[in-house]
Amino acid sequence: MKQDNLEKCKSVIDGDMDAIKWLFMKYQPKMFFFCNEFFHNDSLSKDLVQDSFVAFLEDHYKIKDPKCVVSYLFGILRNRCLKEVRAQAIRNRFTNIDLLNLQEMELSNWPSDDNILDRIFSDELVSGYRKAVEGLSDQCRRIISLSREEGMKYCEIAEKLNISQRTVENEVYRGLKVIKQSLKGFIPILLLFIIL
Amino acid sequence: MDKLDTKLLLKFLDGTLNEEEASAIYSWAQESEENKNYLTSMKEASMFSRYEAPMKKADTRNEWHKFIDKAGLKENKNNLYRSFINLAAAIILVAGGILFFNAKFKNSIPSSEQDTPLILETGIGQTASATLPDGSIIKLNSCSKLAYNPQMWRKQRSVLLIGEASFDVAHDETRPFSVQMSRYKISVLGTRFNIDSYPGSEKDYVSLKSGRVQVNIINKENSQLELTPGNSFVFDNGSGRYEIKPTDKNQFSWENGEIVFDDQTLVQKRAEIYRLYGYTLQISKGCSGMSYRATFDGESINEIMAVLAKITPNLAYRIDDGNKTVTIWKKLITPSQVSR
Repeated sequence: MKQDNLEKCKSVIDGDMDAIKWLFMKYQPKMFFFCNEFFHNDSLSKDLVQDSFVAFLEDHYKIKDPKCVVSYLFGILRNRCLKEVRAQAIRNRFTNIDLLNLQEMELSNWPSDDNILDRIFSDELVSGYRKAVEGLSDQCRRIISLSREEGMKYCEIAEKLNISQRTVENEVYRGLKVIKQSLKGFIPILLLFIIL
Repeated sequence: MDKLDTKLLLKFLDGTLNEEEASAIYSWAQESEENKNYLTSMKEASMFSRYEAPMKKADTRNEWHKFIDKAGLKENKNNLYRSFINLAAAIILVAGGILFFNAKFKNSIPSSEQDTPLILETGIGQTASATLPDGSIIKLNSCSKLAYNPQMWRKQRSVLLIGEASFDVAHDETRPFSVQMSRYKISVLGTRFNIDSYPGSEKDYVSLKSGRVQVNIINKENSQLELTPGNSFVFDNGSGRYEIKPTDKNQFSWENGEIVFDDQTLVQKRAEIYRLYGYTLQISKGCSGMSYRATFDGESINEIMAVLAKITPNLAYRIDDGNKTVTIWKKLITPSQVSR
């Protein structure tokens, strides 16, 4: 973590209002994004992030090391997500037990020590991502951008580009694999955790 | 590793799995760590590939304002000392032990940082809790103010209170903790107690939960009283008389956000309802004598009035949201007479 961020995290522990605002402004979008990847529900994700910040604030002064501030925040968020996954499973009377298992597995696969909030959208990663996208074939890049950045459905893209849906899916898959490769260099700790 | 079907993988990444597909993916992931790892890294790649739209959807600025409302924070330029409530710096005039909070001074810049007391203040319907530098925890009821001077704190733990608060004081024999009230002073070493001293109320109540507290009446010699747990020091603001009585069992119910009617009338609860909801009750004579036994836990003013009207056949009310008043009167005919 950068030095000035560390200073800010120290002020967060001391309860400095400006620092808390900084933390919120910086991490709320990432946390929202992370939640939304699981729940695909904007208002639920916003609520979970809100709750996490409120919980964080109740205990912020107990954090000893400023380096841990963000992972602590992420830890809270991850636990809230787990709680929500379980609550949903109960509401659905466990009709989809494997979806619950899958979501629990995913959530517990993000180690909070090396937390994704600091990694995700860091400058290096974003430029790595951009480079990877540039290296894709024209069609693949086009499809990735329609699907991901514009949020179009696969069948809509197929119709628009006049190709089969199967082709669209294959291109998205191929594109993501390339992107994954490009990110690999940046996530050794995560991989290490999973392999160990 | 068996290859995972592309379609299935994409559905996983997009969160559109149905039951059967979720089972298929889950059992595939369970086959090996490698598979699990693959899913996680694909998910991460997928997250990356669509980051711009959700960043806008996150609505961060709005969410921030929602958050500070929810947490009872106030955006200001001063540091909060390990508390998350609105500590607004202000200048307090302390004259002859009597405290004046002057709203006009609130936003002016203090002449020197040294003498700037920290004020913790709650509005209508708000409660707040704060941790003081020594670890003492204070919970503030609605429409209350607490102030202390962080500069003086090292030497003496002294706070000023208007309204109601409960204290959980950290033990420190070298520095007694004191609460200055206008007409008496409370000193403790480490204990839990509650002070109920709203301006305009007939009586003040200092109630002890555990430990020991001393009460000294200001300007009166040999007036030291010692309070034991389960008892309250009751100070009559009119006559200046005081006594020690067993604590009312509902003295602490506000900490759980409850309003308790214990054979009490709406007239007796009027001030409390105003502090919690901001509504003024206008009660006609015919209704002022009726007492109730009820506990409300987070209900709105509309719900409370609806319940009271239901259990009181001839009670009628009208809520005026514009002027924030509730008018309560006695119906001349009861519903049973109407139906006849």
